[in-house]
Amino acid sequence: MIEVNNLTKEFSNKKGLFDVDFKVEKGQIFGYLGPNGAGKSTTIRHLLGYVKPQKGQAKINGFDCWSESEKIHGQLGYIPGEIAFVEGMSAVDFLNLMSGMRGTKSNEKRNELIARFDLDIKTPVRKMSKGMKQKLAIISAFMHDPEVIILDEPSSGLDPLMQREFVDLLHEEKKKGKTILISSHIFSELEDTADIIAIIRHGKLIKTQDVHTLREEMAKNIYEVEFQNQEDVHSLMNSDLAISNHEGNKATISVDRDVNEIFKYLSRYKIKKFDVPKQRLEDIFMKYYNDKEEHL
Amino acid sequence: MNLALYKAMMKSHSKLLITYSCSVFLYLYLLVMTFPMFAESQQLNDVLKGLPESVQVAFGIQGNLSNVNDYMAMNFYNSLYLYILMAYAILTAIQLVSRFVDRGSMAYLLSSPVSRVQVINTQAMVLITGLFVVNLFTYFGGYLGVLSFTDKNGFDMSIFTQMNLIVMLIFLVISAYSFLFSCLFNEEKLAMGASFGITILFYSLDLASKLSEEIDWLKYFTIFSLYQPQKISQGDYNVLSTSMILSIVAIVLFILSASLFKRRDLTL
Repeated sequence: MIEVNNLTKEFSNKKGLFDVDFKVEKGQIFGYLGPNGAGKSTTIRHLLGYVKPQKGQAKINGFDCWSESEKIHGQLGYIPGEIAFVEGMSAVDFLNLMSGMRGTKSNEKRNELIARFDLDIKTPVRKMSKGMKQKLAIISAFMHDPEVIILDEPSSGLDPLMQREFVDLLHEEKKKGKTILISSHIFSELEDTADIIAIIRHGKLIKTQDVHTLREEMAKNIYEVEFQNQEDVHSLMNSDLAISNHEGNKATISVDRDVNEIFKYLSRYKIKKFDVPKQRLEDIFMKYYNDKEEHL
Repeated sequence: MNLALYKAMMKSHSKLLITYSCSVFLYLYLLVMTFPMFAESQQLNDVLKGLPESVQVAFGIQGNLSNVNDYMAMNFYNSLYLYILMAYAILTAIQLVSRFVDRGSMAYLLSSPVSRVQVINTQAMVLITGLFVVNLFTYFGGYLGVLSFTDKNGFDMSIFTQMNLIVMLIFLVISAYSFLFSCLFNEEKLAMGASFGITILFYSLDLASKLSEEIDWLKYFTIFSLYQPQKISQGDYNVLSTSMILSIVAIVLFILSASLFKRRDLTL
């Protein structure tokens, strides 16, 4: 279990973390979402015991992350945001080093993961591509079967196939009752995995919500339609559909009623292209931020 | 100290260590090979003796070229070896902590259940081992050279051992303060700059104090004033107390490094 209480750390440039509060239960995947520089990695540094909180506390399984970090780390798997392995080592040397430092006895899970992610462990680390390094980082984070797993932007660099594999792995671990925290700046990266998503910006949590509610809230509910003929747009303007925007032969329609009604109306025209735009992260922030901090 | 980390570090450090060790071994060994030629050349000795006293002192060439202990002290211990050890001690100290912090790989080491103090102590052990191995190779290089190329008559084993011991301990202290910088700074460049800066400052102070009588009080501000292969080889050097002081200073610096590193915020 991860507990973060009133965690505050102000840096000299006024950035940092301010009264961050959250809790991740066993068997839960917690998505930590925010733009670059929002404070995600700073929070994670506190959880790993790399920095001392100014105020408040971070705890994992009841132990303080700063003063009792050694008690936590035996049961912790971690992927850093910037993956930098020890230089001059091969992948297998590195994994041996981590197993040795953790005192892991069995190599069973490690071999299973190597096979699963299809990694050639004889390769020297400096010759590895970004994707390979990512795989190595994943193996090193999961191979000792830790209870708590902290992942700082873990899937950048993986191809879609491996990304799928990784998402499956996370779900399996979750079923085993692991406590998992994943940070990302892309919502879709967390969409498939997280149960709860916390959004952070400028060092403050602005929303913590379960992913289904958030997804519903986020559905933008607009259609972008491109017509064959530009006149159709004009005739659409005269209808009672809510046209939020139009340009040339394109129109943006707000979904303010039963979907069937809109389609019935649209079916009269020749349509070239139909699109339901995906919500971008900025839009979410706009949504949760507009009212609060208009003039940042 | 953590054995798995120690082994891995020694393995990845081994190439550099072997290069340094073999170089110093071969250099000193081959240098001794040239000794018989110089020992017989009275002219060269006269040229050296003709140099001003202060220059002789500053560059450590007051000895007698016809003695093999002096010969090694003048031509290796007091010149090239000093620079080789400076480079080795500082670069290794920086590589073992500061580089890992700067490049982020320290994050991995510290995400394991091995504590910060244990990690730092292990890295310090790697540094000490490396320094010891380089010095051991030098020691054997010189000794084997003497066995192979000279008639051993002028060679004093005990003085040669003392000289090597003091040199190693002085560089243990230099390693230790470089290691302290390595533990304190986030940036590799900064740690390296501080270590080289201070060491070169010490070296210059030592040189200046020897060149001019008026400023010879500068010798109290530099560790290199303890670096006197000549004096050791002439037997008027308090080896025991100096080695004790140097060892204690080194140990204190290493303990300080670990305890400061433990309290630090790390931007990993």
